Amino acid sequence: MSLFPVGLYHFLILAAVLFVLGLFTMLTRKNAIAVLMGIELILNAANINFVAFTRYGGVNLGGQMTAIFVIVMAACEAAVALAIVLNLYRRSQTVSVVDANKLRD
Amino acid sequence: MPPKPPPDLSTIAHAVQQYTAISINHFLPEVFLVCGFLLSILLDVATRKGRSKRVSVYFAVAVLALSGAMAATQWHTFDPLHPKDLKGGSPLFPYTQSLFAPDVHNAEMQNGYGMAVVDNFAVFFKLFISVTGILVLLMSLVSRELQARSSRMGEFTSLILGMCIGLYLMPASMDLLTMYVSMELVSITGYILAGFSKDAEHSAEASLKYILFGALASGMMIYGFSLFYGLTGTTSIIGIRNVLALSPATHTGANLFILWSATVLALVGMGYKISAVPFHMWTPDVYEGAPAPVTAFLSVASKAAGFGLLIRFLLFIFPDSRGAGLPLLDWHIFVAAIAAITMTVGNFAALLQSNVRRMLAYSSIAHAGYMLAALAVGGAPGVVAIMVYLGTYLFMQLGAFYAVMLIENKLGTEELDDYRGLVARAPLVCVGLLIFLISLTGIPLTSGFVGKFYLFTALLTPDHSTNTIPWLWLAVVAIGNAIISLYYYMRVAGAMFLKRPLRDLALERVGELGAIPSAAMAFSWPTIVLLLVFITPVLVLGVYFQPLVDFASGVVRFFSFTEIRY
Repeated sequence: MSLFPVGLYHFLILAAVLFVLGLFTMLTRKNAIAVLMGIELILNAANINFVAFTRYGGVNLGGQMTAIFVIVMAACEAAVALAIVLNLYRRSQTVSVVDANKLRD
Repeated sequence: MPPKPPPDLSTIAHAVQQYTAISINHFLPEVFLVCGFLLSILLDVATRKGRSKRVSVYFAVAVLALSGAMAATQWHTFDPLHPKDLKGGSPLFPYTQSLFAPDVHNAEMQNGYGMAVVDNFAVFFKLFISVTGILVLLMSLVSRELQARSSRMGEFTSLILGMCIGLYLMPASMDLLTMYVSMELVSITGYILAGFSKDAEHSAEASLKYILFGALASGMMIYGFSLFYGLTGTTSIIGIRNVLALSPATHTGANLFILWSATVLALVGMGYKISAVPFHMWTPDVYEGAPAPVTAFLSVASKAAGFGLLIRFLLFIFPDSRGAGLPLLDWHIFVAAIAAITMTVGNFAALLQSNVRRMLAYSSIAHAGYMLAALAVGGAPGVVAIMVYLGTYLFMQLGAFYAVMLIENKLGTEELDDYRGLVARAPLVCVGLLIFLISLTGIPLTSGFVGKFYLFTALLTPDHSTNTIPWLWLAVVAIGNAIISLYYYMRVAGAMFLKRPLRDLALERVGELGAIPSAAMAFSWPTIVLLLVFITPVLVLGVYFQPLVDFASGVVRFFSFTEIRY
């Protein structure tokens, strides 16, 4: 019996905090790279949820399998996103999402 | 009672082999598409620069046509007299073949319905996407923006094929994992395609906005999916449905809050794909910044597949919560609210636009709102209305973008002021655009009217148990919106046909394109033929729409909404 038993709820709270932090990052940061970091936080919050649910009371490995797929998808998305940001930087010498706003009503 | 020992590993391996062997036969269209996708990359390397790059477009057209034909052979015709002709399937969903998973009859592993399914619903969308893909590829052959980058055409076609794989899988997916992966496949190729003319600043900005919004939406969706998994212990749509229906603990008390959050988060991701308000912010910018064929593809194929996914998700997880009186979520009212907001915001924002492509982007948001209204009705009438609407929307929306693209090719602009008096210079294209705009408004004798007609029929379906029309208010909102949309569509038509050109505006562009502002525009004959290919279905479906309706109801019959039992 450990002094501080870690259970499902600890993981869920951690995931929820990560999710909110990621959301906050995405909505407030102006640097496109920082916004992309926010995306990683959100995806990893979901991953922690999946893995924790499988570990505590899961009947199959569906959650862990999904988490692996999410990791792969996050890598794909990051690769494409960085390429797009790099391309934007070459065009207009900025990675700020506020400056890249010429298309508007 | 001691827990059952887990099945032997070799038994599982054998079973997996069996399921895969059975499934692969039903997965041929997708397998073919994947092979075509890989070959198109090789073809791009093999062909030399210049005109021979057109070969890759023809190759992709052939691949899409063949995989569409393969998908068509999966169509099940209904024969009520011989119910034993079931090919696969189960009592719950007859005529449905589940892929890559144990059959639902298998009690050992009865927690799922496979990763994807082959049923008429999926076949409908596969055919839809094949037709859209072929038309968009043909459009790309005459796009000035893409032809200026003809050395990268092979890249373009392989990306379109890659996107089609995801679009094929989206409406067929039966598992949260497949839904997420197929949506990401569509999104990631979409991000690249939106920024295809990467040397143009507007394209770079469009793709940046697309990926930031898209990644946020899909991240929120997968977080919602993780809550679903925690609540029910499975990622299978049917598994979730069974758990929700059989154990009331999953939707009472605190769990109800979790279920609502999970559903709303999941709807964020899907709402982004169909550009429903408030997840629509990317739409006008991406539609304006991306190359015209890509815009057309995103606004038709990606939106249609998004609706397919949405129907699967909502109607399969929460089956007819109104009719059956199940204590599940009443998502109908939630979707109805989003629909009303979406169509209103889309139409009012379209009123303010001076750029025609941007106006079409907002109008496509409004059309998503109409289809969401049909989804709120749910059940067979709602789904038939969505299918018919999509079938009519395909040609008029693609046609409108095509006509705008043709004008942009010659004029170098999409501003409404530059459209003044255009009929004298390009009569045929202007008449074509007029027909598409009339159809988008929904005036009779065009296909748009048929779509609107089935939509309002679904909205005005009376509820016989209470003798009321539950969605009367939504129908009123939709009719009001259809009237508003008349104004901005006809403003374009008025500019083309009634106004005199603004001399100085047109003269400014002479230097840019070397065109004389008053000279007639010359279009090559393949361009005109393709325009007629778009016009014909718009007019024919406006009068002879029975085949489309039969097609749509042939899909819905197999959903067996009334026969769902637990």
